[in-house]
Amino acid sequence: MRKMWSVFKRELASYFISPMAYVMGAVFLLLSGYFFSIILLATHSASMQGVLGNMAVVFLFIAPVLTMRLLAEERKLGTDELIMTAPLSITSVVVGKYLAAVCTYLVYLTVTLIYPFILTRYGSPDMGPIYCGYLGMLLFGAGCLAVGLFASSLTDNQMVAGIIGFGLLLFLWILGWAGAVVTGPIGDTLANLSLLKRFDDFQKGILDLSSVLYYVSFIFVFLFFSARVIDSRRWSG
Amino acid sequence: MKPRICRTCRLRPFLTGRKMRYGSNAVVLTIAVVAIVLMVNSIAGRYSVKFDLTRTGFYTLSDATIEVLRGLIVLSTALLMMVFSIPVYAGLPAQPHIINNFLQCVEITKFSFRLVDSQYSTRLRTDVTLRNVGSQAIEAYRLGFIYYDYFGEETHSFGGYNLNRIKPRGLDNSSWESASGTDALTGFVWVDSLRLADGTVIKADTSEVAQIISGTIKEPISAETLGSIRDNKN
Repeated sequence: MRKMWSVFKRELASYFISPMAYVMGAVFLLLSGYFFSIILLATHSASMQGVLGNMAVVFLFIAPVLTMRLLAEERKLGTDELIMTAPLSITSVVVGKYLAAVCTYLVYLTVTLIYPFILTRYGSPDMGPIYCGYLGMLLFGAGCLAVGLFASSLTDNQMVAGIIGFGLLLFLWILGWAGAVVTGPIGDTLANLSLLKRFDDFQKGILDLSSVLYYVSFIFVFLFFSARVIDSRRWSG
Repeated sequence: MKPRICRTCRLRPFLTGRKMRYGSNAVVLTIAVVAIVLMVNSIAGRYSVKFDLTRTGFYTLSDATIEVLRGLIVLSTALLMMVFSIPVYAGLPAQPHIINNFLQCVEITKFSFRLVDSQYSTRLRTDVTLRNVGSQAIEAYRLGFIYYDYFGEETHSFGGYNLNRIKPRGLDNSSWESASGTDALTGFVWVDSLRLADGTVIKADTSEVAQIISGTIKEPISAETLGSIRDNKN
């Protein structure tokens, strides 16, 4: 745990020492602020429903950029060999780096809490869907970051990692569309695997425990895959 | 001379080698983890527990929608009455026997929109009952639709086309389901055209329909708009 904490601190510091976290944060907040203003002006409704959906789409683009460096850079610089030979488990490395990315994302998400605050200041929004929506955003974002980390473990080129991550996320996002075309159990399964479909319920204020479990499993599976990829380098030579 | 190595001798180190052992372990472990996760999710999906965190409960209309609906009640009533009395036969060809036949052969007896909130419901169902009061069977008929959203803006329009054979003095219960995500609350329906048993096709005059709709909602709807709906569905 202490070793994971060390990895986490180091990664978090490297995020905020470089301009990366600030630039990404600025883009995310600028776009989410734009959506909040436009939707509020158009609907005159004290609701975050449309805003959270659009924020999720924006984060789909940001997550691969935030995570593309994490493991690809270590491999490129050759420092991954140091990590592999250090008295440090692969799980500690993967989870430590992942938590640093999630923490950065949490900082962005915390700043957006100003939108519900504005709504409560000037209106009486239904807070249930807002709490639920933010929980959904947290789980959705954490899932996207897990995919991005996995993409980063596959290559030593950051740009390639970013593109793979984005492609994977886009695929998982639009998987539900196939569910609309294909009928029967296969269609249902495809729709259930979609990131979009699961996020919809959170936005509406419906907390479905199976959706929470889906996101947790999703994160676990991609972190597990990342650890396997790194581990494979130990024995594949 | 180079010594020959038998195939089995070459295969054994490969199968018992470090790479193979670790690789197969990793593959088995990965498959097992994915299978367990899928199984757990499948069970959870079957026995899912949902908590409604909204103020008004599951699948209820949001506050904003209820506010808009309150404002639309009067308008909806007017529209429904309007549908009952819609002169679908306006502008018919001049042949008296056809006009006479048409005047007696069709009457919309039921027209209902289910009020939906697009936030919670994905489909909009429109039920129409067409009554044939004429002396000839109707081979086919087509309806024109215009839908309006919460803010009174036209959001969706299409024509339905039914190929049921309706006997004289018979009924035809039909329903159309619009595409998902339609924000429609109310609208108009009119008989766009009829094909009688003898092959005669009668089309409604869209300018007449447009005039009536415009008069009801106090906003201009052009005959071209209605015509384009018909043309697109041809």
